[in-house]
Amino acid sequence: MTLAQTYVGRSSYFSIFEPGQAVILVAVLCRAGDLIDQDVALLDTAAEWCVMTPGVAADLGISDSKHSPRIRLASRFGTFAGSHERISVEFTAEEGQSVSVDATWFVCNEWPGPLVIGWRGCLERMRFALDPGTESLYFAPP
Amino acid sequence: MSKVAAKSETAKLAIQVSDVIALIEAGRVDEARVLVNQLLPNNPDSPSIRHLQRVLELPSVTTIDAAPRTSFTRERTWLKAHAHEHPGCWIAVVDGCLIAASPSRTAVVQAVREALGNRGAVLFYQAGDSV
Repeated sequence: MTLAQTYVGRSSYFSIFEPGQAVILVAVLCRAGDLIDQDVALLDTAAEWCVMTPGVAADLGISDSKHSPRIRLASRFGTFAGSHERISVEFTAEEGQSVSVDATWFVCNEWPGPLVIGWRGCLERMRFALDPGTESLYFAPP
Repeated sequence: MSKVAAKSETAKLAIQVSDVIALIEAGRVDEARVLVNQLLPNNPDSPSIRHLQRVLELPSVTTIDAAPRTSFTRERTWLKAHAHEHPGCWIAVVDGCLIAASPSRTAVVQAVREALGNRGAVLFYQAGDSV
């Protein structure tokens, strides 16, 4: 039996060690909102939401909106209160076409961890695949 | 609407928003999506309900018609080899070269813009030992 899926773009992932924390096993590059630079993010299918670091949020000019209800998120760093915000994230292709996801992020000024690409509001609507042989991330619209 | 009735409506809305948040925090996001979509028609002017509806709706995914970026291999290789040398710092790398490293992301981004203009760098925060 042969199963085939098609994707529009490919980038690479890598692993990187953070002293005192953990290895970011699947580190991908992405561009949040209208930022020019690429940020390294942890791709984590077990993370319920994408999580934005305070630094990236500040660059994007995101502050707690009075209309954004406070929501708690439990994580390996503890439980944090923040808000959900809708901000696009681009996975820039090294081959083929890039894709942009109109993603939902958990934003919290106290978040001590890395930028996280999580399931709800992002990966749940992407077709994606990882190839450990070439450390490639393939992506496409669903 | 009387003041009493308005107060009652406000309290009811606050409870409904709390119900949506409780579902989100419990990981019952599909149920939260259903509930917020049920609440929206009766509360079209509620900023909180509209915000929740917006952040809970399934995201759209679109392709970008632009030439693919050149490989980030050299940036990845540099980060794997050298990022640990800058604990507690934001790091900016381009083409296998360090552009800036500082605890301040703002300072790093500013240094990148001065060095590269509108060309993007790869940014990474190397956590310190104490975190």
